[in-house]
Amino acid sequence: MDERNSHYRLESSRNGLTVPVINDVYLHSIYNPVKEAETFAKTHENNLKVKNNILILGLGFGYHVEEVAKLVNSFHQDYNIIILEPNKRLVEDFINTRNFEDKRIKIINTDSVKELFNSWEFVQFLMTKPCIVKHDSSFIIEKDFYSKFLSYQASTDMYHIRSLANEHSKELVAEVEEVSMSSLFDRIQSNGIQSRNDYFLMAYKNLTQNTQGK
Amino acid sequence: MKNILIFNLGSSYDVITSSHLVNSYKHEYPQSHIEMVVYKENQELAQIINNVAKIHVIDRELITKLSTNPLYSDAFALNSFSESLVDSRNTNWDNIINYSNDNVSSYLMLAMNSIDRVGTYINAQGIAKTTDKWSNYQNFVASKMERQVIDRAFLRCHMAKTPLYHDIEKLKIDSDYSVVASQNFSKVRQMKGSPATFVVGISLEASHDEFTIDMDTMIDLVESIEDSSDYKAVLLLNGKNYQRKMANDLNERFNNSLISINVDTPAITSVLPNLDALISTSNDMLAIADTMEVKCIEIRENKSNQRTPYAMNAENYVIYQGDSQSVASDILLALNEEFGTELPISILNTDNPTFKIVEDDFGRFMTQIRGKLDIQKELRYHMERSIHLQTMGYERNEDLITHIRENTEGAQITEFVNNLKSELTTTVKVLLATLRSLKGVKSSKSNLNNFISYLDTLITAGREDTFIGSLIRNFEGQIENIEANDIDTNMKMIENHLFELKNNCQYVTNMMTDLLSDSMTKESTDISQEKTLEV
Repeated sequence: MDERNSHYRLESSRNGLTVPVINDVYLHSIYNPVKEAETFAKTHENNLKVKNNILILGLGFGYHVEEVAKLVNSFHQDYNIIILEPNKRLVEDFINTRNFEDKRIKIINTDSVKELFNSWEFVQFLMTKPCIVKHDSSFIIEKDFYSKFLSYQASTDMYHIRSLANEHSKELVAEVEEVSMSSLFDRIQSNGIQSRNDYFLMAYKNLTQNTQGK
Repeated sequence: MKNILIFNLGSSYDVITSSHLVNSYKHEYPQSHIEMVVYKENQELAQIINNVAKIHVIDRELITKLSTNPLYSDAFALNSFSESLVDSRNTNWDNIINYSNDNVSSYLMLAMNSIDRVGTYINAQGIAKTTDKWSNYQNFVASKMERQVIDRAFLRCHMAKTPLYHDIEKLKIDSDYSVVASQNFSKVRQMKGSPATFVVGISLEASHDEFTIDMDTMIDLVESIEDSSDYKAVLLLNGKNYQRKMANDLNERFNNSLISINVDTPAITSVLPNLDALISTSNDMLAIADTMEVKCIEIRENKSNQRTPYAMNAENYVIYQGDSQSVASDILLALNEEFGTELPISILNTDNPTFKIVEDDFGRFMTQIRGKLDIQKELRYHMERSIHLQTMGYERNEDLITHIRENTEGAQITEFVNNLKSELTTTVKVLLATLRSLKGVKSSKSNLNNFISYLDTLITAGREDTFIGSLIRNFEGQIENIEANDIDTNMKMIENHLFELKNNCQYVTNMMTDLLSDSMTKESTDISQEKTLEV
């Protein structure tokens, strides 16, 4: 058993719904998880009115997610909800016990923040500037993971860039010895442009010129 | 078949007006296959240009977002950029044209496989080079001018070595939309009881530099047009909220009797040809109408530097609005002139400069027909156009000289010539000193620093926004273009260009002489002692 789940159990609430308890933290109300979830969703109502892409930090046992989905559905015809949850066992138990009926809700289960940001699909979702909804109990339990997620900065290392390059970009950076894009541009500028790839890279630099050096 | 790629990474106006080049080229070289690279925000506009076989789209906004946000790896931005251009990089082109003359395109010029290239490109040392005298003019002279003296379509066709054709269909017209639009406009005409009613479109869109026709002007215009039995006004929108509000306000004012049409990009080319005239600020709708040879009355803000109008089709009007109280009168007057009608004009002589676009053997240009005239500025515009065309190999525009001599007060000509002479004197002094110092370099390389210093002074003089400054910028471009490896060849080429500049200055001197000698006769002014400068 991994450390994350060393104190993991599922309990029943007073009204018979499953409530996970991790490291003695109840992820939902032990009295009425649905009512608690309704109140939770209401507190985000204003943001949900204007955004149809929602990122929820923490799955819990999904009650808050369902209430958020109900609200979003009342405001938007089209929406996407992504839940970030690092706890694999919790996700498996949830899927086996209840799972979501709404196909527009997707759970991403990973404990690697880097892996998340290496996913082009996830990056595209983030670029829509989704409404971020934090499930407090989940956040307390997985504070490290969510804090890392919220303070993540992509590596500017060439090795990292190369690892994410598609087949067309790969030929541009495959042979270079520089450790970053900015040092690659510096080399091209000081040594002169020597190939069609160099010209292409300089065009890219110019397109993004006010944005280099992040 | 000739495979042509056009880099068009400029404004939406650039994309619309590139239809002149694309279709003139296609007309001149019917076997050519033309593709275009545009930014995503201009993709829809590029799609309405005739004879563009394929459009390559760069999502600049996405790439910029990815590269600015520290959350995202640069790899994603690079992936998007390389994916957008993968097909164009894998094609063997016969010719690549840098239409937009921007930095990204100038680097991409040599990132592609092509036999020929047209326009500005960046060389291995990172220096901007140009492929011929026209592209040199575009990059070093035209790009610094607020008000272009040589028509941009004319210039770009010269760069690509094709005549600029006018009577060809440059934009696509959707036949289904066209039938519907034509039927609807027939009904609109009939609203005034005659199929001969002139339908005037009024665009509610702001200009690209955020200038709008104010509400009072709109009310004056609509009132006069709607009251007339000759005209019917149609408000043109493209879906923006401020336009809807403006249309609603106007409709409220006119008892909901006005017709508003919401036109999106694919439909616009079907709607605009049904108009007898379009009144608009400088926006995409106006650029499209002008390209489709719809009669346009363009309203621009009158700033100290009057910017180049979008309406460059012959017989179109450009009104630079200084005083908003009177601009409606100027617009109505233009309609009366154009259609022989008698719309009521409340102010006959306004200060707003009104220009008409006319055409001569050297392309299209603006000529002021009404309003407050800055004669010195206008003389400069016409003479600068004439001189630049002469430096490009055209004959001297004798008609212009004659026209100025016959229609301009001698005192004004004298003032113009004196100012120009002062500019020329300073430049020629430095030019001659530069030539002398170059001679010194030939005898000893130790004189090189002295020569460089003079050359630098000369080029610095070109940074000023003056008549002669534009000739110097042309020279600067020629110097930048020198590719020789050894110093002697380099010096020889610089010398040739210095002599060419000297020759161009001589054109100016000759022009001054011709203008001045006649104005002296006309005015009998005592300027005989002020000899024109011989260079």
